[in-house]
This record gives sequence, structure tokens and C-alpha cells, in this order.
Amino acid sequence: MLSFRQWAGNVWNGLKTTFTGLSITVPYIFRKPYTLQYPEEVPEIPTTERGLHNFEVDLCIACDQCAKICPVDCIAIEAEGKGKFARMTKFEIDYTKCLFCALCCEPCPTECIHMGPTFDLVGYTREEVIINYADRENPRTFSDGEKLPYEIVSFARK
Amino acid sequence: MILAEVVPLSAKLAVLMADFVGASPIWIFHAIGSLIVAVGVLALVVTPVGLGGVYLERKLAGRMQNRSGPNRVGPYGLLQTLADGVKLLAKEDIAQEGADLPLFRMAPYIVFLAAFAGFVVLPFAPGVIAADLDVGIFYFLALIGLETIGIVMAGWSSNNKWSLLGSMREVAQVVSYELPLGISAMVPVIAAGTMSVYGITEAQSGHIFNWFLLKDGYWAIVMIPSFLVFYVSSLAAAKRAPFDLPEAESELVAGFHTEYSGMRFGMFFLPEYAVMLSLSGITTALFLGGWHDPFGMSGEGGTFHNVWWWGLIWFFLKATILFLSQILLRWTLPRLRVDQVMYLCYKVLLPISMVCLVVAAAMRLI
Repeated sequence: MLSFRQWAGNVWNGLKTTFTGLSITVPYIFRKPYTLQYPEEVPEIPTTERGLHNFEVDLCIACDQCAKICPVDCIAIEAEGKGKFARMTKFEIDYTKCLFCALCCEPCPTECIHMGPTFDLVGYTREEVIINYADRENPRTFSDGEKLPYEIVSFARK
Repeated sequence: MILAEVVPLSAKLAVLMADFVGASPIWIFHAIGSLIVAVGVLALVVTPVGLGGVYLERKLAGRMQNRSGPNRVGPYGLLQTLADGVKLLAKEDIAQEGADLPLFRMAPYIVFLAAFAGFVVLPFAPGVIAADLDVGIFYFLALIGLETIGIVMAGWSSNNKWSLLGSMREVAQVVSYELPLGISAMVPVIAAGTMSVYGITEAQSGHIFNWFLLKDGYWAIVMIPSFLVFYVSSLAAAKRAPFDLPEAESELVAGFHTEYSGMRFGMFFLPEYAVMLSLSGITTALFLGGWHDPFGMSGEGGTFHNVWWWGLIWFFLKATILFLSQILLRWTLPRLRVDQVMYLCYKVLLPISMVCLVVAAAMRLI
């Protein structure tokens, strides 16, 4: 059984703690929200980010080293001709499989494949996220990851 | 209590129409004038404020949790509520198997009706009131009770255990909060000597120490506790956190309106904000001086004596502050348990309001 003093203390405490709670929550209204408005604002990417590959098709000698080392076999390479006269016709990376381990960059003798900063790749079908880097009609050029391939539907950098 | 000689807006409209049309009994024009004021208040004030209230709630809730809140539709997301309303209108009207269809379909209308009929007795400004009832406060409290019937119908007819639990909680809550709500509302009634909300507001004419909250200084000892009791009970009446037991998203999956979709859900959703506003309005009228400004400019001989737009500004300023405080409290306090609500209403609010009532009656006699 509560005494009157205890009861009044409880009531006062309830009233007081309500204002304590308000004094904590109300200042948050005037703070900047932490939300990153992602499609408009791009998060800061560290330089060591292992995103979509940067591939320099002119340097590639179609030695197939990257395809051999790939643990998930996501790289498919086709070339016409032999040795010096080899010409890339297909350098496809299947991003439904790729696990971004960066092992393909290690054995490359000409250092033509690197991991880039692009982290978002969106497509309506699985075929749309299989990217052919050696498509000469629609070249995929990478100047600091600025330009994205034609087949990628990306909201990242409009 | 003698009301000041203010020609109501509806009567002014009636005279205008009578002049324009000519021979007809004047009461028809009075009826049409009242209707225009009521519909005008509904269309120009209540619905936009309801829509704005939803936006404000979501925005403030977001900011209090370090989120942005709605910011996609329109500038600063201002049109978000409108877009949601259009979405609700376009959605399919579903009634699940086993529902008691007549009750299920009727329930939203009762809630909607009860919520919006409360605005009839709100005195927005001098002369701007749809109907100045002699039993204004009684009528208002009765409508708050009527809303409960709609909610119980919704919960019962939904054929869903969560809905039923929600409506049972609502009944338990109503039984406990209505007593302190009604009794604490009687304190201003005693001070003013009338139950008409318009008359109570008139009685507070003048500067801030004529408002009932601080009336002549010494009235504050009963007015401030009964204001707090009325405010807390009105939170419960609006089914707002910390008293949102009938809805209780996290435990009862939105309680009594779990099974509602489309515009029927909207008819539960919009009245929630309408009730918040009407309760803020009635609190303003009862305790915070209604349309009177704190400097006495709307009082007898003041610059803005009986100027309707001046009153409108102050009424909505005060009501909006109360509305905002309801939103802030919702996102600050956790939900109470059912037994805690009972404890609060029966053992805390009810004794305080009764003591206030007795003391106020004694003060009135002396």
C-alpha cells in the first residue's frame, strides 16, 4: 500500500521523467539526419575498394591467366589469332558469380585488369549484369570510373 | 453568462444571401449560412490540417530518429500525404472471409463522423463557430465516446483475434480515461458558469491572466492540475502513444484496423489526426483562452476586439503547439501496459481531477 507521500512522489516522478525524455529527443530534431540520399549523394569510396573491374582492353594479351585463377569461373575470354596478332573478341565477367576477391588482378602480366570503385550494378535480368569489356562497338572506358557500360542500368551517377 | 454581441459569420452570410435573393424565410438562409461555415471549416481547415499533420508527424518522427522523413514527393516531401491518399483511394476494398460485413463496412464511417462532428462546437474565432450549443462540452465528450463504438464494431466484425484484442483494450481504456477527461473539463465549466464552448472562451476574454490556466493567479492551483489531467486524458482519447494500446503496431499488428485496406483504412487514419486537432482545439478553448491573444488586444477595448482573423491566428497557434506536443510525446515515451493505463487513469488522474473539481466548486462559492 502506497502512502500519500509515495504516491505524490510517483506522480511527480512521472511528470519529471516525461520532460527528461523530451529534453533528450527534442534536440535531435535540430540535428542533421544521418541518412545518405544515395542515388543523389554517392558515399565516399575508399581507394582500396574492390568494386566492378577496370579493364584496359588495349593492353590485354588474352593470356587467360585471370580466367584460370578465378575461383568461381566468372571470366570468359575469346580471342582471334595467335601470339602478337591476337585480338580480343570477348572478355566477359559474369557479375552474378563474381565474388570480388581480386585474384584475377594478381597474375596479369600486363596489369590490364584492376578492381574499380563502382559498387552498384543494377539490371532487370541476369544477362544485364554479365558485362563484355571487349565490346568494341560500345567500349567501356574507365577514366576514374566515370563512364558506365551501355548495358548497365545504374542510378548511381546520373 | 451573457455572450458578447458578436454577429456570427453564418448570420452575416445569411443576411447577405437574403438581400441577394429576396423574399424567402430568413431561417433558410441562416441554415445555409451555418452549413457554409461548417463545410468551409471542414474543407479549408480540418482536412488540410489533417493532411499536414500526417506530414508533420512523419517528418518530426524522422528527424527525432536521425532520419530525413518524407522528402521525395514534392518540395521537402510536402505532397507525400496527398500521394498516399490517392494510393489509398485507388486500392482494392477487401473484406476477408468470416467478417460481419454490415458492421465491418459501417465502422469507418462512424469513426469518421464522430471525429469530424467534434469540430462543430469548436470556437475558431469570434463569431466563427458552426453551432454554439449550450451543452457544447457534453456534446464533444459524447462524440469522443461515439468514436469508440465505431472502433469496437471494427474490432468485433473483423473476425481477427488481434482486432478483437485491440477493441477490447480500447473499451477498457475508454472506461478509464473518460472519467478524468469529463471531470477535469468540468473545472473550466464551473469557472465560466456555462457548458457552451463559445461561452467559456468568451469568459476568458483579455490578457494571459484572464485565461483559465492562470485565471487571476490563484485559480491556477486548480487549473494547472486539471489542465494536465485533461491533456493526458486527451492523449488517451486520441489513441496516441503512450496510450496507443488499441493500435499497438508492434504487438497487435495495428489492432482494430488490421483487416482494413484502401479508403476504409484511410477513414480510420485521417480521423486520428482530426481528433488530435479537435482535442487540441477544445483544450485551447477550455484552458488556454481560445482565440484570445496573451496581450489583451482581443479583449474589450483592444485593437483587435472581435476581429475574426486575429482570433483565428491565435486559436490555431495554440492548437498547433498542443498538436506538436502530442507528436513529440508520441516519439518520446514508450507504450504503457494495460494495467499501467488503468493505474494512471483510476489512481492518479481521477483523484486529482476530483479534488480539483471540489476545490474549484468551493472557490466559485467563495
